[in-house]
Amino acid sequence: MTKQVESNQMNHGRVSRRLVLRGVAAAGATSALGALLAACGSSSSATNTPKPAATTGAAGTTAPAATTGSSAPTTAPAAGATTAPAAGAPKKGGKLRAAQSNENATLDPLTSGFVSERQAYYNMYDSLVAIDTNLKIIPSLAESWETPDPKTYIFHLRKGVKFHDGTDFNADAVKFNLDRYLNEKTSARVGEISFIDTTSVVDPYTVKVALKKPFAPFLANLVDRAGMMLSPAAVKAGGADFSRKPVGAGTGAFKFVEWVNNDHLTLERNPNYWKKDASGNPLPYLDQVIYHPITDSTVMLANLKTGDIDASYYIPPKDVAGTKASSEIVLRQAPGLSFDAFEFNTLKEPFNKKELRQAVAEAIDRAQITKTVYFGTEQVGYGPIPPSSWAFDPTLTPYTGSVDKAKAYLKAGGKPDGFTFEYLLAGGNPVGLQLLQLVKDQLAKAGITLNITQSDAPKIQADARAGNFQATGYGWSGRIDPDGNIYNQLHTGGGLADTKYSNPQVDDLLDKTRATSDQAQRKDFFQQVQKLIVDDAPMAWWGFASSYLLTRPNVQGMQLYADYIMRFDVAWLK
Amino acid sequence: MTAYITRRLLLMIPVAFLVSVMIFMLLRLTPGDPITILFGEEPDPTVIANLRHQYGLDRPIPIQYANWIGRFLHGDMGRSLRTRQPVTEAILTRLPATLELGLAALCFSLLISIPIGILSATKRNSVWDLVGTSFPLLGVSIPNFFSGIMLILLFSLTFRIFSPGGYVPFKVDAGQNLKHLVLPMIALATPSLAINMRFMRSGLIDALGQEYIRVARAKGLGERAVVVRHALKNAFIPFVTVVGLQVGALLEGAFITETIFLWPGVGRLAVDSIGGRDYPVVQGIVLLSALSFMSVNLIVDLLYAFLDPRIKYG
Repeated sequence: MTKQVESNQMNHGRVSRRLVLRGVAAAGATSALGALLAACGSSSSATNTPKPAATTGAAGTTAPAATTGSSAPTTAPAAGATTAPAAGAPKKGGKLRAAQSNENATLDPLTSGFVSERQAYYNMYDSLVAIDTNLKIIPSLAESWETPDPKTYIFHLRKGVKFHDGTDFNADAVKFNLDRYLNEKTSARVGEISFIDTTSVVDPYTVKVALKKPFAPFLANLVDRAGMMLSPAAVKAGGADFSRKPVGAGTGAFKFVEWVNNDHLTLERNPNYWKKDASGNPLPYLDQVIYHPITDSTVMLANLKTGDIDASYYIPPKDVAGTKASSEIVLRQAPGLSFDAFEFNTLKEPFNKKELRQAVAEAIDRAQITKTVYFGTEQVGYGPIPPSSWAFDPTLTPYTGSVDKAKAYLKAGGKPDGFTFEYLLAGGNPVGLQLLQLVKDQLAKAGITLNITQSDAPKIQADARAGNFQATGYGWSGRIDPDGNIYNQLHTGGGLADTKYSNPQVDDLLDKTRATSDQAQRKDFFQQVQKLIVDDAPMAWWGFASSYLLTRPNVQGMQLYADYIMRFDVAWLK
Repeated sequence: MTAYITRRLLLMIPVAFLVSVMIFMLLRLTPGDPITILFGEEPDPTVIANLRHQYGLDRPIPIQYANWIGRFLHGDMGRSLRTRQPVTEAILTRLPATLELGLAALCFSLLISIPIGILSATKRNSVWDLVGTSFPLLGVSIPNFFSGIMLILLFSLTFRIFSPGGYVPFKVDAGQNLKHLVLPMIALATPSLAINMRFMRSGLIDALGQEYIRVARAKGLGERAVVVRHALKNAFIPFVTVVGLQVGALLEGAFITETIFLWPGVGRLAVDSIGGRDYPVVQGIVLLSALSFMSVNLIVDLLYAFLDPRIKYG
């Protein structure tokens, strides 16, 4: 519960969705409740809950594909193409209460550092571009775009769009926002768009962005917070309080009404929203969306069961099966964007030896972890790029969990009798502890001794950054472009490279993935890089989590995205 | 009396000072940097350095302390590192919810513990005595994060009587407010209820064994008059001490209870802020809690004089 414990839910210090999914419990007692809840769930009439998209699906496919699909990035699809109304015509009105895994720290995308904050952002603010359920980049506030050369992007903006405060959305606003994300001293967005050299207004509805050098993930990065367009007038009017009261700031489906920290965030329908549904009706349908931060996912599930909450996107793994069988909650599940791994300090004994890292990576029985600790909700993985991505490599299975092979690696690493290492684990997280106890057992078979040291998540984060560790966990919530799952973690000197790993060949290939925008070529580079890093094993990747959407049965029209953001513009209540 | 109160109030100053230094140091000794936590996922070192500078976190700790305490004395507790909300505003907006829950739990605890404690003491070895002695054991043994979740399970999921959590301001909808109040109130009150019951019982048994009670009985006073008019007031002295101390326990319990029941009070703010190393907010809450705890204890001490005229302060 709350930030601290939430942080504890990861093996490591990062605040990512992983931690939320990783069994949420303030203490052992909550797990007991979870088991009971699960029991309630399965006993209450198992009926026609829609089958979620199988997690074992083919590479690259996610969630039900209900978009018009064919929309090429440069042409505007019919507005509202992403709506897929279930049976019956959508009904207007109603109030929807949504759970949020973490309380927001800010409502300004400029300073946002928590993944969960995006839940409300996506419903208040529109970005220049968006994604469909297949992670394909589609037009949003930019109706179309051209790239005359790899360093230049020209965006043609949608006309007639107004911010909630009544001011026009135009090229000046785009320039204002991109400059702000790039130049503000406190911007948390710099890393995502630092490749921008200049942004210039060509005419009121055309913007030209010049990059310093080709940067393939550029558009994908604009889907998220770095591409969210806020009203310049509202930002100025808000002043120091803007991050808490972004009145009139967005163009999105819902307008900001009020935010009472730790209790609720209320958004109301934007009557002038530019998107229409498939039959030309104005969106959104809902009158209000109210977010409630509920960090303990067991408590969240109880609220969903009693109908005190209508929609959510996180669930303890142990409750997934019971919830699927329940008629009170509709659960959708698909491959997500995240990965799970253990990371090693490649500068320190014993993991400065590649073979010893490989020995651990080999000795881990991934299938057993995903089956017993995560109840089959995770998919076995060997690298950072998840099955939802176009760059996923299903043939990458270098480690088999074989004790003999692990012993061979140990021999090659000069420690035929095994070795001992310390693993830092964030305390207060029963699932994390179960995972580590299982891994400890698995490694013991190969003669490797893992000692668990429990500590506070922020401390582990600080230690990992400073290189004061031998091994710890690493959960990453994932990004739309594979770049976000690999570059900063594995490029020499990358902002997230706790492992201090450095391989010139990897750096070169990673740079190449950014330099070209040809997807086939990039895929090839990514797969080459993955082979190298998985073999070098600065991290031992072991799984990919699912993305979830949980709703009450009367919530209609919503779709599950791999980024697990609940998009309420198309939601309605039966 | 006035001199006594003045002295006590003056004594609060060094205690508050010590508390403020301790919480300030403890927070900064706790590993984890607030700004890094804030930018959980991809902390950009330059941005973090900028913010640390802007928020004054890069200055020597004694100077940070002097700045903070200086502003505190002028009534300014600074702004939250996370939300930039003024700390005073953050605490004040949550105070009503916490006071409501705390007072409700205190009243609930007193309303149950006093009668049962009396019954248990006067009708020893009866059913009431069994309740009065066994329940306390259970009550103090069950931590309230567990009882809270059991209450949700039973009354929200099984019987669907009460909502599993949330808060509706009294002004908005009084009925809903009370309905949401019941479960957290019971969870929060249980441990103190148990202790109060026990102290009421033993306090009264002690008082009933005193000689003046025998005198009262010898005078031919009825049992009711003996208990209510003579014994009870004296029995209240240890009881009031314990209740006073429990104000602290209620505050502490609120940290957990508020979090489980999604009650938007000061306790939940504290838990969130500790996790996020939101120094100004935690410092503000701890210092204010310490001040209120000391005030309550002063009030308790003054109550002694009212309960037992032999106790005089001067």
